[in-house]
Amino acid sequence: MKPLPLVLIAGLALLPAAALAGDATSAGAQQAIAAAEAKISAAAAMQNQWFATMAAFRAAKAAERKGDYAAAEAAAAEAGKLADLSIAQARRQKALWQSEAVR
Amino acid sequence: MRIGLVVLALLAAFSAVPVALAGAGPDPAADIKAFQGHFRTELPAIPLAAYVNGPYNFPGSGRAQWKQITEFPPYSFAIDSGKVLFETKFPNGKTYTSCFSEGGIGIAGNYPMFDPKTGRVVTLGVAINRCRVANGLKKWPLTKGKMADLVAYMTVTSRGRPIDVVVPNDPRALAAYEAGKEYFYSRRGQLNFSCASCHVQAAGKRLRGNVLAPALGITASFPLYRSKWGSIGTLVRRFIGCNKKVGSVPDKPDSAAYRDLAYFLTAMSNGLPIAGPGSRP
Ligand code: HEC
Repeated sequence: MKPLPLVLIAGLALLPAAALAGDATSAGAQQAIAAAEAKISAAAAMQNQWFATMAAFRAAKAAERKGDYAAAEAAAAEAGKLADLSIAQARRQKALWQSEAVR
Repeated sequence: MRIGLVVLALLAAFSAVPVALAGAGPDPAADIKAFQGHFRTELPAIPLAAYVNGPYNFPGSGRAQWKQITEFPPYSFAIDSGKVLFETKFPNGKTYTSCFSEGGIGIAGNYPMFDPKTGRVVTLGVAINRCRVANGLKKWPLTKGKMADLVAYMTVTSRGRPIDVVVPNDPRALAAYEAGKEYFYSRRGQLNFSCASCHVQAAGKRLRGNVLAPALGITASFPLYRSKWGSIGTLVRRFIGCNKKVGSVPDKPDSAAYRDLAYFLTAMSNGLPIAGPGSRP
């Protein structure tokens, strides 16, 4: 057997059930991860990153590596949502912090 | 009611004055007065200088054990090690004394300090690292280990001297101060707490077995030995821990954010005595 077909067979064997059952794809997962990453950078720039955001993001990348694209998309969406919340919090605080200040 | 209206108008005019002043920019002196006044009013039983003992001003904080261990404090090893580090010559023959005013003795209360050359705030740890780099050595991590030991020694030579953080009338210094103030009062993390939520609004209250130290005097006992750490740590190590508590990813130990935060927070305790190194449960 030539090496190429062997690789193909191995690849098919590794195709996860999720990818066959649903319509989640590698490209979709990568897109979701990239979108989350952009929001995470924005949150970092506002000095307000949440641990939960990073945990979801790590989970997304781990799922993507395993080929579980549906799980990767879901976790990336969760990371993006959390990053959005932390950005909103930071924006709110820009206006609100002074009301907490001792005067 | 004409008179009533006039009175109201006058009141409005007067009450508008402080607002207008507040809008004029950072006023550290006024902030310090208000900050110390707040605690004097809220917790009048605590003498001003006793705030440096943080949680031990409150029942259930392990005050009795603390009194006992001050006879052979767990940070004494750090002081000894710090003294050796302080006196050991660099490869070029100089020592840390060459980098500090007063030869580095009794000056911990002047930090964090604004450096007009770089326009940045320099904590004692950052100043030590600058000294090391200037003498051909590598930086140390700012949170623990040798850095904490050396800061412990330099701090013990300053014990009892007043904290005297200067915010000069330089727009960059005032901006750093204001950034530190904003950091202190801004809610962050998934728990949506600011430093002030715990250390101002809930000062003296208990949280999961710990007594929340009042923000006044909160920097004065650093570096401190914590049983939970099993070692001595610097103020920035504590910042990292408190950020994590609320689910917020901490900043870098030498970040502008933490330097500015230390600048603001230490300045609030101006006039209180240096008490470090300290020990905590
Ligand atoms: C959720 C409440 C909470 C928030 C928010 C919080 N802290 Fe703390 N902090 C604690 C507790 C509890 C301790 C002491 C006990 C412990 O270490 O668990 C502590 C201890 C400290 C100490 C040491 C006090 C001493 O005398 O031992 C410092 C300094 C400090 N915090 C600074 C900060 C700063 C600065 C912030 C904001 C970045 C902050 N904290 C936010 C709960 C909080």
